[in-house]
Amino acid sequence: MENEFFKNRLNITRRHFLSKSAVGLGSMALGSLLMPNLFTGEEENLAQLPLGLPHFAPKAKRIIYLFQNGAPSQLETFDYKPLLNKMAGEDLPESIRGTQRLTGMTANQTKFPLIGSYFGFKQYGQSGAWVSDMLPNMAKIVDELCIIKTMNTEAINHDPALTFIQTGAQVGNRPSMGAWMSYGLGSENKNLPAFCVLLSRGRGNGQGVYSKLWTNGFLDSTHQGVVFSSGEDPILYLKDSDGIDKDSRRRMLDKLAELNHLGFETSGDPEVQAKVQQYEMAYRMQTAVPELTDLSKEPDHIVKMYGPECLVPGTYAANVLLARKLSESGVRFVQLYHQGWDQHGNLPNEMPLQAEDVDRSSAALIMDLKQRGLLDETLVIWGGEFGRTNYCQGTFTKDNYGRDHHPRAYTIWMAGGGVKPGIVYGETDEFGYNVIKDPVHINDFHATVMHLMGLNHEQLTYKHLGRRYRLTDVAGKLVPGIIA
Amino acid sequence: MNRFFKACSYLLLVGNILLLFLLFFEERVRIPVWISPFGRLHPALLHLPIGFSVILVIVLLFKKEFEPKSYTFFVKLLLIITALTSCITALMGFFLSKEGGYDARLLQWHKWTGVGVSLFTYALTWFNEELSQKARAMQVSSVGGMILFIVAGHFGAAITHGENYVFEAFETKEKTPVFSQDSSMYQAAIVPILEKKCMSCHNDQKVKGELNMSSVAKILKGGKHGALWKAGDTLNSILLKRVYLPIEQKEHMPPKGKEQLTFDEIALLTAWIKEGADVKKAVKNYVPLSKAKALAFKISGSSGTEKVYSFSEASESTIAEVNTPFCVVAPLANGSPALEAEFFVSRKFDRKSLENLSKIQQQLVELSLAKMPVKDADIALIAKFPNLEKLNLSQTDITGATLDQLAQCKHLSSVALSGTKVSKAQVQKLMALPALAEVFVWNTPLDSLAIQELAKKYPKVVIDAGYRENPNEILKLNPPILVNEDFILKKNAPIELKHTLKNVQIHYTLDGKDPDSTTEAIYTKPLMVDKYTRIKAMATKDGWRASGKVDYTFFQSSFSADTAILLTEPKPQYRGKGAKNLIDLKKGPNDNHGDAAWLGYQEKDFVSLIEFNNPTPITTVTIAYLQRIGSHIMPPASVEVWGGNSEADLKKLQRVIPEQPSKMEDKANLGINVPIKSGNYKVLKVIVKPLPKLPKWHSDKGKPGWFFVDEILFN
Repeated sequence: MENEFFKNRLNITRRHFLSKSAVGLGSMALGSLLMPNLFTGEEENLAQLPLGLPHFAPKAKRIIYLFQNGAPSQLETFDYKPLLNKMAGEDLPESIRGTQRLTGMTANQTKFPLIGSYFGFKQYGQSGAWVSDMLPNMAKIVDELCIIKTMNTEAINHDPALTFIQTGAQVGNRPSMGAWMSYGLGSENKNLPAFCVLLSRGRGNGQGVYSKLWTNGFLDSTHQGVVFSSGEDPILYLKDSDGIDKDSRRRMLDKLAELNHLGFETSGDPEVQAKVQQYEMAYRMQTAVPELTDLSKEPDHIVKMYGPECLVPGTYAANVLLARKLSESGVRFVQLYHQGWDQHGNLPNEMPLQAEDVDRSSAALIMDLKQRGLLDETLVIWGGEFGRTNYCQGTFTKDNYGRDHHPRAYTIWMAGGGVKPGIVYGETDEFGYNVIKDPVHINDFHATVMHLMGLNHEQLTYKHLGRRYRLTDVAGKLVPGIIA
Repeated sequence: MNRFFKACSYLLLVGNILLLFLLFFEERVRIPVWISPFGRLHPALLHLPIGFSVILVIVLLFKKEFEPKSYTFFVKLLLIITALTSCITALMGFFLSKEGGYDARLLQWHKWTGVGVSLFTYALTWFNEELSQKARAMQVSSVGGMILFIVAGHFGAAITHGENYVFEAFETKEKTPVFSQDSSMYQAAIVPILEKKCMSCHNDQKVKGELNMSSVAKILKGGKHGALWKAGDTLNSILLKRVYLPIEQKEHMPPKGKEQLTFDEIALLTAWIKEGADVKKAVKNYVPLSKAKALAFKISGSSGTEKVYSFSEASESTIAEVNTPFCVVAPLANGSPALEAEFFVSRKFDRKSLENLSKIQQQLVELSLAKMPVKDADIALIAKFPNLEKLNLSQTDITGATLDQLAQCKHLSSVALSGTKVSKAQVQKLMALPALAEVFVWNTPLDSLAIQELAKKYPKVVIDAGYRENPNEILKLNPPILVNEDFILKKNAPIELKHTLKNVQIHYTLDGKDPDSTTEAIYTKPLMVDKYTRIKAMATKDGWRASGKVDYTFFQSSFSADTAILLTEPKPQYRGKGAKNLIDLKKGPNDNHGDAAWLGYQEKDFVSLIEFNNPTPITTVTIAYLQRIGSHIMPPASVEVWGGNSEADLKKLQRVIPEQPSKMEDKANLGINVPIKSGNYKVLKVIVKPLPKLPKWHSDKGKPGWFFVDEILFN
């Protein structure tokens, strides 16, 4: 059988091709003919910006993304709409709903009875932002938060919406945000992956998370998110087995790498090289990871700060604490997913459980980063993939209701690394249905997050299948209003 | 052919006379409009005489390869065509030059050399026959013609493309000033736009509309229609007027076909003129809400806080030298001379790496040593970085005794000392640092009072005290944690619970009742149980609110059956893996009744036959079932167990009517213990009747209930 990688030269990536062609000046010249901008300093030649460095001085060096999987309702958390309580049970005016596409779950409803928040709201902090009574700890740090009430997306179902906010496209196969950051900025600490993923599950109705959300897409597989285990050992099999010491491990890896290079020479598959790098990473992680799980340098009151669950592996609180430790150890992008926010029904009973899981530890993370002098260089993002409808899904009662998916306006917050603290950005209408001021589309959100990390979203590109791709692809505008 | 040559020489005569005439009476000539397209073809046509002359020289060089007759013919033909096209090109060039806007000096040179080419080639056609006798003379004159071509062409190219077009790549370009707070708004934001979009026609060589934009003075002088802008007056600034005209209008700038200004660029030009059109004002001197400033930042793609450093860059090799796997040194950003250094993995901390950083003494502006075993003596090393701005010493081993040495770091603005043993007096020494803006002292011996005093004394410095435990805040404890991974207990396997906090009491019940802090049973050691057991537990601790409860069901399995047969089929959608599910000792999840571990029955009895290879002393049969009241999955209406030594002689051993819930309850894995008459059995038959009607309190009352089973266990 012919070797598929040599049969199809397109499979050899550009960088790989260049490194191969570096053997002779002749092939270099050929390289420059094929890629005329290779050796010039033209601005259009985006790829020549050296990878591994910010394009300009960054506001934030690291990101912790507290992803609330399943889409928490903005109407019960940050977007206070008393009109919905007044008009409870009345039909959503068609003028407000407009031509919005609905999911299969409510598209056949004959009525769209409005329903306001079951939970009270109060104003907090100097910004006077409204925060739900369900989130008392977040309310306390509201002056650190940049609350964006006008996030909007195109997708109306979980999978495409998740994929969109994580990878910049609703279809799969594009690299995740974290993978782009790893590709563009590299790892700070060479002994840990640049992109780590932590999973937890709440008590509410859950939606799946899957590896395409932290995929490297067409980037090198070294940029893929590394999922940590939710057990006692966040990383399995890091300890050397009995009878194997550090030196023999080293010798074994060196020999293995030699064999792999032989394999690479016959197959030409760049993934072989990636594999070698991953073995090396695992080896280096053996030195760095033990410190991550060590709480001996932390004062006891850390437990009170994050809540007692932070000691129970696999909980959201424990993941948040681990995220802080990873981040301060130089992990570029720590992505958490907390499942259980999909309240199509039974919202007044389920949401407080979810809120209880995340409120204290999320707020603690902000305070903790701040008191260590790290908040100004760490960007924390909290939010889901879309919002929830202002009308009830299913049987309507004032004490128990559900909300369907709503893409037009929802709330997230950011804190730290270069965002304006203590502001509420954007406005929705009185029904909480449409954006009336300062919309922030997913692409704009990505552009802004990249900007905060010192990356020009138009200049971090990767050529794949004949064209250049970006996280924002062909869209995305900076949102200057939230940049400090 | 002769006629052709004749016609050509007449044309040449007329053309060249016309050319000379036009040149001598240049000042009086007015070019009619219709001729202008003819003039504009000059840049296209000029390539013809050049091409023909090159062919001519080639033919001359390879004289020997031609037959004498055809050689003479080719030379004559090529000469005459070269001369003719040269003449026409020169005429066109003349017409084009009348459109104006070109650098006068270059134009003059180009004009005369161009006419020279035309006349010279015309002359050659005359002397062709004489010259062809003397090969040497012919070669000399053709090479002379070529040189003339090159010179004329060079001036022409300089007019259109600018001087030194060819070798431009080798020139060191003047760096456009980096856009930052300190640069002049005009130089860093406005000039780049003008350069990109205007100066190709308004430069020293090409001065369309008498406007030259190559320097501030020349721009301020303006063009044919006067000054380009009026500071503060957007309505009467010519630049903006031209820009805002519809693109179809002749006056619109940049002209149709040229690269247009973007919306942001137009907005910036407008805002800048509105805000005073100051050509010197630095970006930072614009008011915070300045629109020009915001737009300039937007266009430059910079974040607006980029600092400009005066020290020089460290070489790449130096940066490589100071980098180790545990000390990472990198520029703050692409192209920035400023460096940051971060140390990772405390047990790999190497003091030499820190000493090594002296190689980048000037460039180091950020240093993070958090969690490293840095000692007081090391502060002296740190104090040697004169440009250090940000220093993180959190959770290091310093005591603060040597912090005063940092006084040398005049640019130090942020110092993190959290989790160290520094005292108030020591922190106070730092406070005098001229640039200091923030200090982090969480988890240090400094108490709130000390921090208040410092804050009062040094109001410019933000002192972050961090989280302080609030003694009045009482938190809810997390529930006990189950150690067991399997809910089916083999013989002699205990139930184990634990808690992550110390001094926690775990209260539990085994009777299905909810435990509370008064429940007497307190977990001290693993619990042994001998049958299906539901354990409910909760945790208490002084100073904490009691935890929520956990609720687990454990099934005991003393004997494993050898075969199981289903005599009635489950509902097709809940067929699971069939009969073997019942005896595989694998529990189904309580949150997914679609899982293959479950078998689902509705309106039809569950009847199963279980066989043991040897007679087995069974006293209890446990049916493990699912309760999800919301999904109509209920405890069964009745359970019957029959037993014997073969299928033929089964006897009814026991019938149990399970208790039905009287209200909505949580989903749960439950079990029904069926005690049977003790004896040795080889075959057991289990008959379960699903609940025929949901109870009255259920929202779907009257509908048939479901029965979901995953295991049948024997003790």
